[in-house]
Amino acid sequence: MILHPRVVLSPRARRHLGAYLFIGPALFLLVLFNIWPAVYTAWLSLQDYGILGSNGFVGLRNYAHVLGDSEFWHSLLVTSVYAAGSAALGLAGALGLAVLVTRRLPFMGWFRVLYFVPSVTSLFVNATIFSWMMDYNLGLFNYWLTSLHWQRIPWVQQASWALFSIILVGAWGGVSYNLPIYAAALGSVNRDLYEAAALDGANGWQKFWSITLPAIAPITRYTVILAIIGSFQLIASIDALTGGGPENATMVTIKYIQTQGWEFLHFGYASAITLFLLVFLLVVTWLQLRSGRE
Amino acid sequence: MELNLDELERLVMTGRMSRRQLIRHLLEAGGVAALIGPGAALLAGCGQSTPNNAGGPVPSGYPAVNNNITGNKITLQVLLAADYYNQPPFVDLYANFMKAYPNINLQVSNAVWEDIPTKVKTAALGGVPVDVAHQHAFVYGHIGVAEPVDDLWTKWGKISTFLPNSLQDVTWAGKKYGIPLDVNCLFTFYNKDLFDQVKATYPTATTTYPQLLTELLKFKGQTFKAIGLSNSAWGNSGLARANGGDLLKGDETGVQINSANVVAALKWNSELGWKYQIGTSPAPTKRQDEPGFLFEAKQVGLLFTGPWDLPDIKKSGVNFGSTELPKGLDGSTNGSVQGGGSLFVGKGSKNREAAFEFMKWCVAKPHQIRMAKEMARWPVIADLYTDPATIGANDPALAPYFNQLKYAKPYKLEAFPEGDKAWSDGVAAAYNGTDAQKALDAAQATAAKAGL
Repeated sequence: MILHPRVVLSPRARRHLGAYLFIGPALFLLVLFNIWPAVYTAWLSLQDYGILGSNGFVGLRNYAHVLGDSEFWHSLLVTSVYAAGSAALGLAGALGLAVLVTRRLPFMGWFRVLYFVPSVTSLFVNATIFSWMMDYNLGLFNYWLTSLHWQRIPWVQQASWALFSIILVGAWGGVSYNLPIYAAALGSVNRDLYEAAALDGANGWQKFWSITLPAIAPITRYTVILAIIGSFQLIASIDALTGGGPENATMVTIKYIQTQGWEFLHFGYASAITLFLLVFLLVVTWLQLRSGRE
Repeated sequence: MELNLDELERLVMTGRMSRRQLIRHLLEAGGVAALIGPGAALLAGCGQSTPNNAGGPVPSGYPAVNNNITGNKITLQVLLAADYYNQPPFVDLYANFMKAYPNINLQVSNAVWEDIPTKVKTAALGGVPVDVAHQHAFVYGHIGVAEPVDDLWTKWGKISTFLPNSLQDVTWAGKKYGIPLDVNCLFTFYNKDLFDQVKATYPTATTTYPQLLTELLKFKGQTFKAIGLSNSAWGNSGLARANGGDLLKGDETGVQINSANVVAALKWNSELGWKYQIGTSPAPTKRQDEPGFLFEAKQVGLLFTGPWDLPDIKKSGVNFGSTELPKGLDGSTNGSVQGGGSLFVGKGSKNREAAFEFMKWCVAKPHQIRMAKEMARWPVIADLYTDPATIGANDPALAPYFNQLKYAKPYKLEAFPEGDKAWSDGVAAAYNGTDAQKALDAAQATAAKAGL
């Protein structure tokens, strides 16, 4: 007679088995597409890794190189300027339009349908449309300017304008994405506060500044963090509009990582920058959350 | 339904028709009776592993069947440029090649020219190399992701039939990494009506940069521009070559982006825009075809471009002329940049010989003639130029192009990615108003920092 050993599960394990089975597939995908690539990137960052494989373990040399790489710091500065500019314009625009859509104005029904369109359209498609509109010789924007007898603007051709143009494109997408969030936040502000303020003689601006903004501050903190993280993932509009140029004026960090990896074939170094950026973003987010608590 | 046994056999042997599909097909064609005789023989053959050593029919003018590759089933991964892969000459070539090699299944994919490098590198990095890829073979030979094929060239013995310049596109450090597919080079188109309107003299094959400037300045103040400018790295390397400038040192081991002749050519071209205000603003990288559109729209008087623009220029109705690039600053130099492309075998491909065979078909004379006539892509086989009518090149507008081609050289800086980017940035800076010397000194410093 053969005795089959029985697998004995503790009552606690039995209680959680179903839950583990349910999250198993998602966990597997998470490990496969997020955790494993991150671990692999960390391993790559310690190698001198080229197109034909590893040329050997280099320890922290790639990280030391990051610290002394002026082009990397330039890319971080460009990304930060982009993040600040597109977040400020995008969030301010979203808030302003949210105030409008919560009011009973004509055509608001149509507008509510249309404003989210940019968010559900491919980023690259949006950017390609802008590349046509911002074209120096044939673009719609310069056609309007010349119709008004103004000078054409080298939107994406000149270093002095290119980053501003990218910020405009980013802000346009940011308005669309954040508008419904702000509209919902505005709807949740306690109406009694406005009535009390009105009784005290507060005007519209005072109500907005002293009631609305503090009331939606947690939402603003959330949207700012999302905007900053999103800014550090920016690449589609850079690829479609400028390719990181002219003269590196729009060389954001992700584009720099792509250039180091796929153009220059320094995969180890590109991985080190990626992890450096991850730590940088974690610190920024932590600081932001901490300032929110205070 | 017509029963074509040869075709059925080919589909079954190449695995593109299952036994179930074959039975259904035979029943539809002739009922149960069709299964007896040839049908049964075919079915019996489906499951066997004995290789078919017989090649199929080869159209006239194409290489004979290579019996080394007619045995086992082969799937050949082919990556071609998006504006080539689905053109009729290539579609017919795939069908004919698979008829000649029933055991070979071509899996053709495509990408826009600028995206091919990433695809090739990704495939190499992932350990699944592309068998045949389309770009500049020398670049991939240099970075180590193309297979050297000198032995196959020797075995083929046709090297002397190629245009010598075209072979540069597949050669790096003395080794050959592929087969050239087509060639072109930068030369000049001009709008005769606009030149007449401003009373400017047409450029000729002996015109120098300063002489051309004198004529182009006559366009100042017009609603149209004198020249459609481009800040393309490739194109500007050609304009530098016209002035005797070379971006690489003689032995191709280092860069000299800021050499005197290169700086002088870039200075001349870039200042047409920001200084003299007679050129259009150069389009960003992704829109390098824009100067061509402007020329076709009669918005610019002169354009430096390649022969690929000729069909569209003709269609646009512009009253145009063509000539070679300017002969540098003092008339003593002659040069241009050679374009086109080549095919190469990805490093580690298990189908190296089959891939080379496919590439040989792409340069067979009948296919090269069709590429020229139907796609305006010019041959790499020298004797096709003996009678221009053969390739539809008896158009007088192309005569300057063929002269220019003799003095054109490939843009080999592309093999050094950091140098290529440094040059691109320097060119962009010069067109944006930075002094050319300063812009190229900075570019040279960047390249030096990368060890070039």
